Amino acid sequence: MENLSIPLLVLMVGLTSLAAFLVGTRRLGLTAGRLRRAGARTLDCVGLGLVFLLANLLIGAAAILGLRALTGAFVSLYFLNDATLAVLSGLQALVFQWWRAGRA
Amino acid sequence: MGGFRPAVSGGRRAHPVEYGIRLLGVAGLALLFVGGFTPLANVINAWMGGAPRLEPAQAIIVVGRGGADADGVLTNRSLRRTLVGIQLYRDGLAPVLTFSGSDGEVNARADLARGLGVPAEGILTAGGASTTRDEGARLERLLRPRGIQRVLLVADPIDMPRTRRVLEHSGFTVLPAPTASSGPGNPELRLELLRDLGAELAAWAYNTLRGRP
Repeated sequence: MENLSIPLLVLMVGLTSLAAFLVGTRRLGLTAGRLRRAGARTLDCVGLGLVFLLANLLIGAAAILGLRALTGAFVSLYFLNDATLAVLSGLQALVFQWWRAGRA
Repeated sequence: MGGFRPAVSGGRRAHPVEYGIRLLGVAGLALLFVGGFTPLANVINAWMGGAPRLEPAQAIIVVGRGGADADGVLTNRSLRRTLVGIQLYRDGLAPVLTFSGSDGEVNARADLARGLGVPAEGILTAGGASTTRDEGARLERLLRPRGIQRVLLVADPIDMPRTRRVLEHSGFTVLPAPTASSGPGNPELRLELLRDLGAELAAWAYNTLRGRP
């Protein structure tokens, strides 16, 4: 019972994914082709999120190094090691992706 | 050829940037699944810590990690290292227990060690440090004049290579005493460990570029 988290996660996500697939295909009339495109769009979104994350990290590192150089005070680069940044980068990617999709 | 457009416009050839971003997405998801759902991070972590050498030394050095909260309570990682250091001292592996890190962290650690029965004369502190390199310099100034050269280094496995390099650069002979841990078993903590490994890799690259140990 010690390491139940992984099977539990797989069970939860697997069941809700299956339920969503059934609702999509039987109630909403969605096709497997659209699901493939949705998967590809998700990959685009994750990729964009990583681009935003990298850009955010580079700007943060430049700001910290600049601050060190300008003030002589020590500011730790570990401030960048914050999980919130990944979440915010993901949100940036989502907004950007929807923005682009609206243009297509 | 238009500009950078969504990859999901049916039938048309995708821009190379679109392919690049999609490939990055594949890599990101692969990293998420491999990092969270396999012991990869744990294996790298254990490899970085290396084999412990718990042998008699002239001092035990417990380097900083995570510091202490505003109310003086040590963070989880700092506490774990401190307890390992105290245990090594109690095992008689060295006559001196040395704490380094920020002022708040070393004071909280010293208080804890005294509370757990380590005599005040057996505790040395090198506070006021904000980087590993800074800790190395302060430890060198504190310990080398006392003739201390052979030290047991207590650090998390992930921090061991860089800290060890810094201390060896300061003239110490380092015996690694990594905080024993096979690593986390759940995906969230494994991903956190993977993030820390990334940060450590970035620190190594930064120091290498600047020609530092």
